[in-house]
Amino acid sequence: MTNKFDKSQPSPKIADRAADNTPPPDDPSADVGIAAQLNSLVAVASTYHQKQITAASARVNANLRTLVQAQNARSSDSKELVSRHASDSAHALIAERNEQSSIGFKQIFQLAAEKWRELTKAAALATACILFGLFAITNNVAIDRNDLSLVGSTERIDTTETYSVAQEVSFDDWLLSTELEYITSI
Amino acid sequence: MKPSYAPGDTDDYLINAVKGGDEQAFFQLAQRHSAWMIGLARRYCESLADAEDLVQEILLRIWNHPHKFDECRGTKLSAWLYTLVKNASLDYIKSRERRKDKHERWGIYREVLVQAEDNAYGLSAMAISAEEQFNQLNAMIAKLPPDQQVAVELAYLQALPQNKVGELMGKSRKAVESLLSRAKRSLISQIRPE
Repeated sequence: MTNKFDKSQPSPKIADRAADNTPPPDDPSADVGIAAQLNSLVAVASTYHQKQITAASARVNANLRTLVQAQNARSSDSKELVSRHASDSAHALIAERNEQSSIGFKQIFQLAAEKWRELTKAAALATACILFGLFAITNNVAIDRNDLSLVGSTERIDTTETYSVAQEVSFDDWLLSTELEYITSI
Repeated sequence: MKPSYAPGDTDDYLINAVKGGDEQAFFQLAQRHSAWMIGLARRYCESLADAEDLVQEILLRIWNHPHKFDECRGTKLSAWLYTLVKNASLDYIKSRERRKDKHERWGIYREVLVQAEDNAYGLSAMAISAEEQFNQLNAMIAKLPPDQQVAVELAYLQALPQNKVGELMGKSRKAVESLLSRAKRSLISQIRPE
């Protein structure tokens, strides 16, 4: 029987532990070994991970360059498209308005010309001016002076100056200042 | 002529240029931050490819809406990026979870656990490849609390200085040290044989 007070003999517990050479779980020297193992693992994993994310980062940066440039190109294309569309639309609108303007102008002056025979020259001019003004204001049209040829004049005016209600000058003033002489000379 | 940017240009300077539509400034910012962002996103994503996609998406959003970063609030750009990555990653996890049914989730979870345990006990590190070692460590890190995972990712795996880690995480250097110390103890206990 082992004397439990005999300090020369290791206790059975310690003897067992020494026998299988396993350090106790809270043995600091064991933790030092494990910490070294962990450090080694971290070093290898970190090198691997950094290589991976550096390569991934290079891919992302290359993709971003392509995407941003493609996006800008698309945006510029669409701006151009919008601009072209707006330009086409504007041309179509102008053509349509000019058509209306021509028709309106023609109708007005035809009306004025018909009335010409019945009314005095001054009254016909006043009627034409009023009708013309109403037409221009309600339709917000630009009126080409060349359309004056529609009233039958053989003399065309060589300017393309137009009147727009957006202008500050009133239609009457514009018409009177620019057209009076021409109309009265018909 | 387009301006060129130097690595020394501050983030604030670059993001202001990006707000003015400067591509080069944006590319410089992306180059500076994308690596750690991918590393961080990788913590949450199933694969590196998913992490790449996520970061690419975030950076592209920044290019399209740079004004969302308001330096007047006193936030650093890197801390803002960190929050963006974290939030996007959490969204990613939610959408991934939605896609998987409970059974499948449990299957993967169990697989990860088994793998983590196997890895924890069989650390004959020299005999296995770097990728396997990385996977082993990853499985162990996955068992840590989220803040510790991020601190380990940034400080140990990406080798960022602790003050930079603190800046990103919005924590003091002391707090980062404490997180890392607890994480290290936990990792050691995972390696330690029973």
